[in-house]
Amino acid sequence: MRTRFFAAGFVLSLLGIVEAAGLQPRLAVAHEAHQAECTETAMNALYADIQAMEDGEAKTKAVQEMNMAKEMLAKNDMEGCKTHMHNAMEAVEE
Amino acid sequence: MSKDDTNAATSSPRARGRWAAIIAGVLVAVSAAAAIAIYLGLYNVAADVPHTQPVYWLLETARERSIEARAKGITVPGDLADPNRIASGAGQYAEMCADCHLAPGMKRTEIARGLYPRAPELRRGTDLTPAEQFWVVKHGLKMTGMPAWGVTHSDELLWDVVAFLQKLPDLTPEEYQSLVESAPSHHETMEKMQDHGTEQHDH
Repeated sequence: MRTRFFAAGFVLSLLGIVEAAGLQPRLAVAHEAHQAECTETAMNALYADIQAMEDGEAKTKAVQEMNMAKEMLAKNDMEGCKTHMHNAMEAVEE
Repeated sequence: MSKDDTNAATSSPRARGRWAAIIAGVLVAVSAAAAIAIYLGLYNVAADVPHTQPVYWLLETARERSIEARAKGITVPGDLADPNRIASGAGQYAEMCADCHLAPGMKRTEIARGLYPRAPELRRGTDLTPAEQFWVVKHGLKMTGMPAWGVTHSDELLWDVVAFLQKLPDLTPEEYQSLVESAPSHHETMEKMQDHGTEQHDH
């Protein structure tokens, strides 16, 4: 009985460790994925990224998308704003 | 009033003195306004609030011109393509640079996302010449977070990093990892190896 109890405990612990290990990559992906927020902090961060870009198509596109995001925000269209923020982030990482 | 009379009125010593006084007055007023603004803490130095574009342009231009002027006299070694230099530089880069400047296959780190000005992603290449890269790595950059690695590292090790930077934009993530793994295990070991080499040379 005791042996079964400890065995079960061991197996459950092992499962827990495996699950936790499996969680890590998913957490990392969530952290690394574009989380396009339409907040002042996010827009400032994106603007700083764009400032650091070399002149070229990618920068032009990023600027355009950011300006469109601001327009959407001014119209209170949060989904539209997030879409353009996401596009701008994609352009920054080109 | 004839044209000659008008010209005489504007170019006379008295008129020139008046203009000089006006310009000096404007300069004093602008300087005073700037001093007051600075003293009152009106300019936001938060790293999460970017400079306005004119200020950014001013700082960028000052930085670029300063680096260019100071790197002019630097002699670039002829062996930057040496695989040993590149491997050593890869190890240095992974240890000292990648967290901010990133590496092939690497996602943006939290520090890379929070630094301002942003640390350039060197895996995308750079406009700086090797001499300029060496100058920046050795002396760092004020008010940026870029350290002066020359305080703690020899010029030879820093040239290894520069050698690696020439190769970096062409590397795949796998090639980068392979290079890093082939680097000497610890850069203090590399420093000792160089000091030992210097001692032998002195004998």
